[in-house]
Amino acid sequence: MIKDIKILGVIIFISLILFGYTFTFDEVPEILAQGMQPTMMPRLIFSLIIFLCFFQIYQNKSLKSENKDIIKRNAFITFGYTLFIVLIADKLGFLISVFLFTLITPILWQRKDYLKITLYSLCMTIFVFVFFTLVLQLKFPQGILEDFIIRNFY
Amino acid sequence: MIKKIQSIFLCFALVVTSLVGMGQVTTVAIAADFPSKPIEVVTHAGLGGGTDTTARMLLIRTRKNLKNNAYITPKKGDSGNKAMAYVKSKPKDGHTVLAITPTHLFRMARGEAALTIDDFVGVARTTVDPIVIFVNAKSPYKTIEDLIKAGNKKPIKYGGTNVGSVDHISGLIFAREAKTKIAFVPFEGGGAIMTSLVGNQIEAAGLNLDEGKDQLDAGELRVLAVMADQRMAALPDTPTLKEKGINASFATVRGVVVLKGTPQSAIDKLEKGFLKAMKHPVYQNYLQGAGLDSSSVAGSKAWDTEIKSIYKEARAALVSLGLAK
Amino acid sequence: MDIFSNISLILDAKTLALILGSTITGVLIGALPGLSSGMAIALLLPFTIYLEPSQAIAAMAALYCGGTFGGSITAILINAPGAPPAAATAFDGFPMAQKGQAGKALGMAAVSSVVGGVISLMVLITFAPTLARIAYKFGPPEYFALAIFGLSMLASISSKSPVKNLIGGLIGLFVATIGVHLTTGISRFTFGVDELFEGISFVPVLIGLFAMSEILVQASKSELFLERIKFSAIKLPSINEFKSCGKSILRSSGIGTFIGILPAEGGTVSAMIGYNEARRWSKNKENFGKGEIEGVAAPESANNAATGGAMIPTLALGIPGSATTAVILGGFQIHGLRAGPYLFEQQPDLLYTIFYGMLLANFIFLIFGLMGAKIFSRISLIPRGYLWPSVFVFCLVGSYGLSQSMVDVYIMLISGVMGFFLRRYGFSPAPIIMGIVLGELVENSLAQSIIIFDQNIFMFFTRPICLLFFGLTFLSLFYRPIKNLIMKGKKDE
Repeated sequence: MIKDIKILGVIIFISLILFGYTFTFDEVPEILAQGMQPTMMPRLIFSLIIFLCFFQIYQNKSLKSENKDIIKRNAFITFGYTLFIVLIADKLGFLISVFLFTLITPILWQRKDYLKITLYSLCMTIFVFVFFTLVLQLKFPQGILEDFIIRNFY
Repeated sequence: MIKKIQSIFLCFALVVTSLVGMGQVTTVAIAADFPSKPIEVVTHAGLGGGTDTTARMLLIRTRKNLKNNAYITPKKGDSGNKAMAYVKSKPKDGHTVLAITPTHLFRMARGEAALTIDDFVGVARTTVDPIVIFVNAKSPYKTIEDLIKAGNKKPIKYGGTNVGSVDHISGLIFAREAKTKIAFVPFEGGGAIMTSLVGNQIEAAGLNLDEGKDQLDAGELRVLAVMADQRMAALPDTPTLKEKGINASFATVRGVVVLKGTPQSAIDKLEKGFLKAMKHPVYQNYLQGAGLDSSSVAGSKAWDTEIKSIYKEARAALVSLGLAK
Repeated sequence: MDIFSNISLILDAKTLALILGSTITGVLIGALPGLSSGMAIALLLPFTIYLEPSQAIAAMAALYCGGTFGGSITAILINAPGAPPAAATAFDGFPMAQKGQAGKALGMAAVSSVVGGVISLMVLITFAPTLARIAYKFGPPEYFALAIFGLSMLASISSKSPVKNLIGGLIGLFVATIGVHLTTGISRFTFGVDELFEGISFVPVLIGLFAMSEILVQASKSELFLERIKFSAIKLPSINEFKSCGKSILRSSGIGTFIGILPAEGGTVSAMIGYNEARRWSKNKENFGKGEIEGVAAPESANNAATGGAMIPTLALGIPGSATTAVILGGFQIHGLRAGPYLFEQQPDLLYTIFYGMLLANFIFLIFGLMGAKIFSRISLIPRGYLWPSVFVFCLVGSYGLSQSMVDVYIMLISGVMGFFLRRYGFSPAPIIMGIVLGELVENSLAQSIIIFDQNIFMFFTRPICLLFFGLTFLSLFYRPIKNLIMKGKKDE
């Protein structure tokens, strides 16, 4: 395998798709198009990206890809859990999500002092609530707690 | 150890359920009254912008007048459409208020918005800021007629904020009504337009008075006309386009609306609370700082009529320009 | 000069306390990723009506100064720039913290920030009305030329392969094209998501590329890795290290002040250019990106100098020099005040209050930063299992907070994954950030120029400032090859 060919291949592929996508843009009314079409810049960018990727592949053609450290399973688990938390944050509310995230992630990362983890998790949740919601008055989706928080803290 | 965690979990679950329970009970108990929970004001712009600041200034005293809390929910996206869709999804009880600008009305007029003109009722107008046509003080254009004449020979480079905004539409309609030509140069904001005008990059611009006031006083810019039915108190010598027989009155108007179907008693209470807040020196000072006066403020009836008429005119104009179907 | 006689303006307990409080609030809020000083000021605006106008404005200005500095703390400690201008600080600051030199990086950041800030303030108080007029000279064509000059740095901004840097920069440019097109109102690459209509917000992308991708990197490291050299982490930089960075700090302060004056530009661009110039002229070029202390000093002095720079057109012309100063102008309005030529002639007291407020803010965060460095640097010693989940919480809250939309959180997550893979394959985040920052400017200013020039692009060459920047661009691209040619010629003789 040539060095970096995988990632460059992916970039070329995505660029080609997006290049094609520029043909679906709305037509510009006469009164607005004044010398520059909205498709011009993106097409220029994608052409350059594709050209540079091929150039890099050509430059690397004699280089073998080196062995990278494998991505540990933990990274995938962490990412999966992060994704899960982000997806439920909207429904369940930020506070509960923050609590769940800070409670489970340290365990995923091989920490074993459960009492400390619980304390940490509670502190973090309370801090987020006090600082962001009460002090800065930022409004987060609070999911099932929404009604209660709006009634008592705004 | 595990037992400890279990008990903590249990406690937490207990607290959560009891909290949720409390919330629901209170809803049922006082739903008949208005306001029974904090008022939510939905804006379409980012923090610190004109719409956001106006809404925040409005709420300072409104909270006291309604003896109720109020907060702002910014719903950015799709030129106000996101905010309109959000308000549409809320119950028609007066607790959700939408802050609107001409941008919203233009979106509706182009038939692209989540709400239509008949879906809401005006509650109060918060600011009126007419569009003023500025040129560079060193330019040969001494009157609006000079500018119109020049435009007939070669399109005037006319600056304004982004496409579809009140600056853009008003510029196009001014050109059409005055039978002249403009080449619209869109900018990211009022500051950039003003610097480009002083720097002679563009020939004319439609700005709010406040955006060019300092440069006007410093003798770098000149005002040619105001896009309003009456002359501005701050510019008594500047003619309006209407006086010149050009039918183009546009302003950056801001105000608040609620969904149609909201009980009249709730609308009345809101209107009273807002109007009283806007009479307070806190809000009046803010208006003065922005170069406006107390004529900005108007009640539900006047504001509602105004919205409808802006919409009607914009719709006709947009169709004739080919920007709406 | 009457500069010094006016210091009594801020010498009462309430004003001093306000400035102290807002500077420290600024540092703390600036340090949190996603929360910027601009946002904090916007949220606190309505409450300032209860203050004296001059006190309120001085407090806002102090908050602005503190916020710009605060961004560097998290950039160094957890690779999560607290604000966009601090992005360039993370390039070398975080590697330093990883090597156990967090204290050195933080100390250097504090000192270079103050030097940059104070220099720009001196420029502000002495030359503001004259310098502010530069803003008028910059129309769309000049901004286009400046943006091209910025883009010419893409290839060289990090020590990774130049071709990869260019590809990264182009990816950044692409991200900037998402959203509605300024001149035609056409929406591009929004895929039916309304929130993307106004473009991808920069902050979530930044948080994703830096902090979120770092979380993923940390997750795949083994737990044992963390046993660090604990004692050196809290050490501050030595006098010699300050001396060796002196030139970079001065150069960056100049760059920052100048770029800060230009209304469309701000701290982020000046920090990037400051970083790139420090690298260009440095003897340890290879060490940049791996924990070079000059790589912390340069962007920090540049972005803090841009703070004072941005206040120049704001105060002298009433044109905001940056997003935060736009909010400060809003503050003027609330108090019925006006910025502009007016201020300098008729209300010098207000001007001096702002000036001293900002000056004092700089010294407050110097002390706070140096004393705090010892405490903050311990953050890099917190066990990973607690540190990185907390970072994620701030990523989540910070990316949501700005425009209060879940879409920004998804953007943060996607950028995190992209950043993780791009970094793995040797792409640096530096050119990507640079591309995003300059992308909109390049396209919009080109489109505006074309309209202004009646579609004749050769008109660019009739503008002196454009020619100057095109010349600089040419030099920065071809300086080395030309120098080599000349040297070769000399040898041949």
